[in-house]
Amino acid sequence: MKYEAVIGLEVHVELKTNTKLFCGCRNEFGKKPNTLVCPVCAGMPGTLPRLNKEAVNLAIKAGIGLNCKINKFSRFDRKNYYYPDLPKGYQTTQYEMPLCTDGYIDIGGRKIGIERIHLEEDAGKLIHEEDKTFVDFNRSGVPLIEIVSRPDIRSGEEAALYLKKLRGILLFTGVSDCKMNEGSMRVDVNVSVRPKGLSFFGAKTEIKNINSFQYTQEAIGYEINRHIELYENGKTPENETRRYDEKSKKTYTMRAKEDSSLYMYLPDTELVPLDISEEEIDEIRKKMPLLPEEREKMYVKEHGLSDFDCENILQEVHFAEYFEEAAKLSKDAKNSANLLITQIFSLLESDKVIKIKPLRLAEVSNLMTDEVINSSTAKKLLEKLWEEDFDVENYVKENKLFQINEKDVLSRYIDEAMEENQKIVDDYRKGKKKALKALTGIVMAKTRGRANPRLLNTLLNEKLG
Amino acid sequence: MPNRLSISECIKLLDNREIKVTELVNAYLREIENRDEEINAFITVTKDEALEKAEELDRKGKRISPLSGIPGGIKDNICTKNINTTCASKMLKDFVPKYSATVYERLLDNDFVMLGKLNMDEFAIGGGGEYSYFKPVKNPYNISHMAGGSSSGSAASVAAFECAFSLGTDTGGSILKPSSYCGVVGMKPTFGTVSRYGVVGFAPSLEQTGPITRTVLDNAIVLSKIAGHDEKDPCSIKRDLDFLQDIDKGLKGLKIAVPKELMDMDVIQRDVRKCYEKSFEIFKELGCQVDVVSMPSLQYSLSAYYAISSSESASTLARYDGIRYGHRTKEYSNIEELYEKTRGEGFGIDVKKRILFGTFLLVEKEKNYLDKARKARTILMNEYERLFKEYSIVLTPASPITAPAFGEKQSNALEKYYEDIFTTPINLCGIPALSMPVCKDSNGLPVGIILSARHYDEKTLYRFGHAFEAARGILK
Ligand SMILES: [Zn+2]
Repeated sequence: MKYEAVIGLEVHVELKTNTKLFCGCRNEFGKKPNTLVCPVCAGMPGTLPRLNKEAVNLAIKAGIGLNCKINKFSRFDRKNYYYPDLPKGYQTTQYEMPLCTDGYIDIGGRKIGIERIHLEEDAGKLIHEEDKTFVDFNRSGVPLIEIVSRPDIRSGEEAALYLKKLRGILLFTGVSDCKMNEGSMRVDVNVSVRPKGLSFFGAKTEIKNINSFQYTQEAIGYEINRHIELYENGKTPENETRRYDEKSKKTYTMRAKEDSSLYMYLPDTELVPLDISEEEIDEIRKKMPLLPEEREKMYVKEHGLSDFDCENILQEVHFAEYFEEAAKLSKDAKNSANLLITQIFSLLESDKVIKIKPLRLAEVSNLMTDEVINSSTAKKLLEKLWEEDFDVENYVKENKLFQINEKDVLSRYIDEAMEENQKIVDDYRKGKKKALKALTGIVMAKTRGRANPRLLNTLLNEKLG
Repeated sequence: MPNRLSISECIKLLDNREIKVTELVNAYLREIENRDEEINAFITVTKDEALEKAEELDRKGKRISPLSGIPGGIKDNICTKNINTTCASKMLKDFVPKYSATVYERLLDNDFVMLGKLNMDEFAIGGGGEYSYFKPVKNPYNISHMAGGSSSGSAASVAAFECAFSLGTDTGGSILKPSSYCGVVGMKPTFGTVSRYGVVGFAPSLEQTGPITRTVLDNAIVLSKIAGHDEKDPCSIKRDLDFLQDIDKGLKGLKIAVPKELMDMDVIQRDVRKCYEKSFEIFKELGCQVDVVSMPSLQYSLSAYYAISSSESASTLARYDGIRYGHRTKEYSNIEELYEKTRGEGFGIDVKKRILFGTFLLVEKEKNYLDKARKARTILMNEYERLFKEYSIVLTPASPITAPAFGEKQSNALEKYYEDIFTTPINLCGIPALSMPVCKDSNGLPVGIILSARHYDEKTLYRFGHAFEAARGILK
């Protein structure tokens, strides 16, 4: 029998606002526990929520970026449950009337539907120390959006692709920094398997809190196979919540699936319903930055970049902005892109900050384009620029780093090299073509890396006959 | 006895320097000392702070507001920075907030003198004033009778001359009913008029804070100072604060609606009915037309009110879990036990009943009780709206009965429930209403009426109330 997987993703993303969703506390990660707390986000008696408009606007931005319908009328509800990190005894969320509905993400030709995006608040965090448990409320009330896909995904690969696209859109719209390691992006997966062509849903397992896109893909792959195997053996999977273990690359039972109808939901009447005008939505639409897909099109069309280039540059917003800035100043933007990806990216540290001004990259790139320097000089210059900023042209002049483009000058270096390395010359003439590379290296070293590589290649070939 | 004066009389004396704030405050403090041991209106008396403030005001001399130097009390579910705010519950008996309710801050900004925190039914749930964790509030007219609730201390303290005015909160008649049982004037303003920030409520879609005073004019004076937009309360409304504007205009030619359905109810006591009908006569003499009208949807209001308020309370009171503040049980072996025992010990019987009922409604989703309640609410609003196109006010008794005696076995729970028949439609629709005394029953207990008006029309209620009060004369 042929099987088909039915996969839906629920992604929680923390919004990049200055303050929390319902109070004035700063929305920051990694601060000392309980330093970003006020009576409102600590759920003190009599306090009332006050909606942060910035969060609403970011959620609308996400909705526009994900091709959703922005609902002019939406409402906040309370989801009631008891947990020590939940100060009010309920989470304020949007249950019945979410802000955005009916969107999609295009994952290379296939549209994955988005059922809804709703605004809600995050809970605090429990900290366990020996036999004690502490609660940190710094995260309590941080604004989240939950993006719920339709069950349109069919494989782990598609899920990873969907997540990558989603992350790109949320990053480039400034909605979230999507850092999975800091918990500002969290992925829950629903997987079921059914015989291909049938429309019923099989037993559904939920895998909670997966740490990376790679693991998501692996976990889904594992889960699909597990379901198929069970069906093949005449068994059915349980409806349950599982977790993915990254070491064994397997999923394990956590608990039976919660019945969502057991939660008590009711409208939060401390807040007035959201009433968003067409003008407000248009205003946000007008200010939408270029999304990764649009940027990719532009890079390919205007600068001749490859898919590989685009994928690398579009990993981070500041990479793209950096490239675009450098490209404006470059005679050959494709060359700048190459330098950025092969040279500069290899210098990056974990903070991913580029320590070279885009102008300098353009200057280096332009000197290459004008055949004033060659690529190995460019590499050295960029390494030097990483340490300190300087005027590239002056530096090249002062340190005589010009490329050797003169035939007679380069010939002299070649002759010298051939005389000193008779064995390599002989090897080459005996048919060892690799010897050419060795000679090229020797000449390059003699010229302190300044030889025009094309000219060097031509001359060497001539001389070696 | 300066504490027998109305606020408007005090204002004149204070303006003319015929009395010192200290004298006024001392008179009230003496009354509290003499009388509150039997009335139980106060949970906390802030005597030292009151005297200090009075001296400061006397030194300063300048009166910045009509309320400057006027002593008042605050219901104990209104957060007062650095002063115990207990909600009359074991759950919060030692709770001292580090923040103040906006409405309390407004009073402070007006230089009022804080006398203390007033007793109430626990968490403002309950209608008699007997469900305080600390002590039951007694009716100043007859201490073997209840004061009504939940703003029991707020009404009793004003009636007993222990406060010049007080603040109460009203979710389903919690200002209006005790005001009528204690023979004082209570206002439940239009929803959104007075900020709820810092007021510990249980059903946010129904609640308002309002003043309780001895005269209608005093009431309008206090409301003028506590009302107004507050950005800390999302439901707070920007509106005219014109409460005193029409107060002296008289009532010639105005129309009053009397709902037939309520008049026909046989739960109304004979004396109450007599006083109610007497009020028609007074209004007619003042030039009003009194018409009997039909409001068929009023019959739904009690069920709708209990469904909505209980379900909201089940959620709103969830935060009292023993984790961050308030009561926490002594011994527990896991988190579930911590919750169960903390809440089991911390809440009183009426609060528990309300939470259980609300939880039941929220869990029984198939029956759609809440949808039905919300629909009833909408229908009721439409009915009021239609009426207010033609009538200035709707007039009802404040309660079918006068203040019941303690220990008097109510024949059944349903009878107690009917006590709120006249007040609940008002909260469901968010309209303003004024409760005021008409006369006394054969036991010497006050009988009150409720006037309600369209949204934002408190000024008309004060106009009616002021004229009625003058015509009725002092309650003897
Ligand atoms: Zn806060």
